[in-house]
Amino acid sequence: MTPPFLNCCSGQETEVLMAALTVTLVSFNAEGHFSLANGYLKAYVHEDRSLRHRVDLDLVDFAVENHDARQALFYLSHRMPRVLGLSCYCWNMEVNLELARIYKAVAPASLIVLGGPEVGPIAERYLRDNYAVDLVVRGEGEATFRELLRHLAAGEGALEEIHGISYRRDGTVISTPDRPPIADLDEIPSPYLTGVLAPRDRVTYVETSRGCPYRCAYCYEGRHFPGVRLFSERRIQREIETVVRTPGVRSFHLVDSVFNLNKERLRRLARLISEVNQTGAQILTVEILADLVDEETTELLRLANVASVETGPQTVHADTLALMRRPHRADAFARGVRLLREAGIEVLCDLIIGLPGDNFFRFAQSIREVMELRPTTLVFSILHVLPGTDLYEDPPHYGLRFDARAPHLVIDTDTFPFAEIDRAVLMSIPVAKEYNVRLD
Amino acid sequence: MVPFHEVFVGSRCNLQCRQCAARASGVAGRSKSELIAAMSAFTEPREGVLLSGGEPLIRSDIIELIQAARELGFPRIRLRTNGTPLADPRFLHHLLSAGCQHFEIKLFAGEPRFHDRISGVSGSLEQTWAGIELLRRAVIPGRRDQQPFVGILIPLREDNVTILPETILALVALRPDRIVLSWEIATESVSRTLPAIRNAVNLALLNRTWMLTENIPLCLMKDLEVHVAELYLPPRTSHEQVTQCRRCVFREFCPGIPSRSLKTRLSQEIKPVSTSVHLEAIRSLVRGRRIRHENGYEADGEAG
Repeated sequence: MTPPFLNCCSGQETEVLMAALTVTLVSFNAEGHFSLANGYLKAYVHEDRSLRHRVDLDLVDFAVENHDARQALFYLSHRMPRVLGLSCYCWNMEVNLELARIYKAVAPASLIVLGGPEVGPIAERYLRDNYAVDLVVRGEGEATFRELLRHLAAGEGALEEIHGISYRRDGTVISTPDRPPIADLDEIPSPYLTGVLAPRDRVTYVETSRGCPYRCAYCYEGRHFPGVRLFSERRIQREIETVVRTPGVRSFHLVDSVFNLNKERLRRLARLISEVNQTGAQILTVEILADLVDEETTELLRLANVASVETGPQTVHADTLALMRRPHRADAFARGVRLLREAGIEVLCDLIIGLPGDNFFRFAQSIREVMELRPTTLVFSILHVLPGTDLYEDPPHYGLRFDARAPHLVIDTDTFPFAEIDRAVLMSIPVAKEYNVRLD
Repeated sequence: MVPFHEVFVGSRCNLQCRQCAARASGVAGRSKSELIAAMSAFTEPREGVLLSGGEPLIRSDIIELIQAARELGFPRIRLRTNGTPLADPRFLHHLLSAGCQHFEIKLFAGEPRFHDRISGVSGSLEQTWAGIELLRRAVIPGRRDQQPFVGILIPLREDNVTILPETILALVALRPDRIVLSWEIATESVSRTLPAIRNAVNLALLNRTWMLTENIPLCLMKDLEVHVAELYLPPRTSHEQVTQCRRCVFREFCPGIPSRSLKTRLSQEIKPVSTSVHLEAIRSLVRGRRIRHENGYEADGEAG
């Protein structure tokens, strides 16, 4: 079991004044990982010279599988931050709410702030249902959170003037207008270049873009951040340079909703990564659309030292894919997987259990057809009806029922009864193992 | 769902199961070179190879056969075994290191007085159980995050079907990856034992373990069709349809009943199905099944 990981490598805390506003950002992640999102928040706050000496901000990461709220409370009870920020996803919401509840009991004067894709789209509901939660940052968090800290630490502006937040006042939940996403992503200082986050092998993520050009009904990204915003190539280059030069780092990941969306950009990035990556570090995972892969794409991915890619198709059934608005061309997808495999790049194929329009046997057919493409790994997941997605917003349209509480698992659909979904989940576990346990 | 090419390695066995001809004194089986030739004969893609017997693990050259399968490019090598030799941790480590990472362990019951009576060898269940427990704790050498695949095969017979619920409950505690119930009864009525089979399926699901049935036609598995193994891979032995099948909506893709059961009560119990909401989806699913047996028995799923 990995111990809780404290990201306190910047040294900037030494300059903090005694009366500084204490802020702790907590994230429950997959074991061994650290929160890039919280790293961005800290880097963005520290960039503000007026806040640097007024805010004492630390980051702490726990493993959602192995650590619990009481361990987090143990840490917090020593520091007693005035502001507790929790990074919220569907898979860590339960422990976040538990921590919020017990920390509020220990520190009633504290301000508990939630942010992240789980809470942003349904901020008012979380505030109404959880009295320990004081405020929710909606949407992209960096600029909003910094403005909030300016208000709290320096008394700047009024709370109601901060766009992109929801909060409770006199028992009433108030939401300010939405804040548009940051247009120029380079405005956000890099957590790696500023020393806020220390890269570590296998768990370091370098973000190359935000947003998605597609609008799949089950996905949050395309609906809330339509269009793609890019980090500059110079910034990406410097981040990767820093990551690969860190002793012990032999691999990292890229965060990009469709890394191969634009061939010209892929050419430039592949060349750039190849030039910078003097240590030969591998890129472990990057999301791509296999439909867009051709011979040149595989050469470029190899040039960038990409070891494995993750792709759909989520289901093989054209009517379900059309209902989900997911782009998919079966022949092109099959060709793409083959080309990647032949180029020695590992391919992870994802299938979702419980999509509206599917049923047990159609899911089984998806497995069979994807297996025939001989990807390296099959990945199955049950449908999570995430807040802010089309599925969440209009379940009757999709004939869908789901658990209102995170992680928002699908319960049933008009075509996929609960008993079949449950059986499909149980079947998928041994099938994935039977397929994925293989000799190199 | 992963297609494995099956290779019969010989009929020698360290158990003396009722209604099975395999014995320790049986024919030694085929030579290593014959078996390698048989494995070589399978065309690409070679997704997996299944070594069956008799008891393949009592062959002195089993490790060499596994290594040969590996060299032939089979990414998955499976053994169908009674599991008793797996109780030796050193031997198990050799198997895993050689490249065998998939196991299908055959047992009759979770209680020695039933299992050992059928297997004909006192103490055999204890050894099989110890083998399964070792497998469940094992990790694949060099891959600390991966464990071998452990499936359980329960041949259903008249002398173990009555205690099937107890067997399932004992087995699920070992957390196998999958349990397969294989109908092998020649004299017992399948209809009479179906409640026990349904109960077993539900017990397994309740305990979060996936279960399949083998050799029981679709018409007898009403509402449990998703558990019928033949929908995902063609049957391991030859099957035939009977007269009643002509009136069944599943006739175009249900393989029918095992040929060896044609003269048993099973053939009389077939009940044609007149309608199914799953017909189209099952038809599409079955269309692509594929597997090839070494003896030339081939079923590619393009039935009908």
